Amino acid sequence: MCAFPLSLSCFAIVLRMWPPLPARSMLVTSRLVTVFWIPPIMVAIGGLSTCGLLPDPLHDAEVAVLGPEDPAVPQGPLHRPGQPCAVCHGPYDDDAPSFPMAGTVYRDPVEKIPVADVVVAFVDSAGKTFTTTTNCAGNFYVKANEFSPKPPTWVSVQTTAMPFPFKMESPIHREASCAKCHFDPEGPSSAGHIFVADDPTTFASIALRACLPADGVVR
Amino acid sequence: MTTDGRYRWLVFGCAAGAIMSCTGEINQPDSTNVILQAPPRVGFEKVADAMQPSCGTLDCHGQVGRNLRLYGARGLRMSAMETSAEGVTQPPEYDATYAAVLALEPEMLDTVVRQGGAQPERLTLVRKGRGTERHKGGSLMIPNDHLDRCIVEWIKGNIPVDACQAAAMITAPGWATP
Repeated sequence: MCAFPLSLSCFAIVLRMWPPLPARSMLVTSRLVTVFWIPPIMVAIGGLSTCGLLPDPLHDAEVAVLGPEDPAVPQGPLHRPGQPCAVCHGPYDDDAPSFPMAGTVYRDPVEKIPVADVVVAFVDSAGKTFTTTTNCAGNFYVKANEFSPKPPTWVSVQTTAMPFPFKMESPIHREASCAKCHFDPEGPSSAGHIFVADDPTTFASIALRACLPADGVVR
Repeated sequence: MTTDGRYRWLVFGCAAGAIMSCTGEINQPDSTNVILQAPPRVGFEKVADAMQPSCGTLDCHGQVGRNLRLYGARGLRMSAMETSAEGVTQPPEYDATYAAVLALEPEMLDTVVRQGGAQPERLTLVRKGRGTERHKGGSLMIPNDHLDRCIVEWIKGNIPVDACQAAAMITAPGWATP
């Protein structure tokens, strides 16, 4: 009830405070022109932001938390094991290829011992499947042109030493980085790092190998 | 009258109108508390378990930042002593999930419940779950599928145990049901 006359008062005050112009028609025209320009300017700003031409402080903060690269490991498939890959390999960073799924697999729930050649198998809600394997850093990734899952997606990990795959109990709905939910330490909002076996009697049978040149080659 | 004078009177007139329209009696709401009706808490564990794999995972509503915050054994835990990797959903977590669902749209939920659960799509919970309203998580249920029946029937006051249990045990196509 109060809003209309109050807003009209405010509008009148604003009009009155604008600098005087030579003629009333020019006054009306210039102010209408100003008002009409506001939406396109706002759209343009939105477009610049979407195109990444404006800074994104939230994304920048996420990247900053990851810290610098390990100088001993070149940028590539072996870098940053255990970190949430899609922070950079996602839709907000054009410099890195985008991965619909990526992560790191370790041997057991306690030690962060990476395991190579683990078969990571995905099944999406349409029944489409995709498998990939980990490299010597335990890293795996899925390229966008290889598999675009229709969520939710289920995943399992299996080594040759294990007769059965370790299936993830809950599906993945929208997160591309395993490490967004699977980080250490385990806690009320984390399932701990991904592992292939939790039975100590099987640890010794899980082969660990040194890195080969092929591990660092981008697929 | 000069242009300045006309503007001055316009501003004065609008201000006076604003002040006058704001005076007078303001209708105070009834001071008695209104008890909103809600779907039953008894048996809600089945509904919460059904929602957990479709809605309450760590990458969706199992996060503290969500408007609808769901708790569960494979999602967000309430206690710092619990982890998302093991254990079972605890009673306080079911209570918190129940409160979270009710707190989304308490007045609309009250209306829907009072009308016997008619037109459940008036609830954002149902529209977003069905994907008929823009939802980052997409469409997680289709009308009359297990999860949809579980939630809609619960709003009506019934718990369809078979539907809720089936929704709680969703698994990948081709995988054996756990």
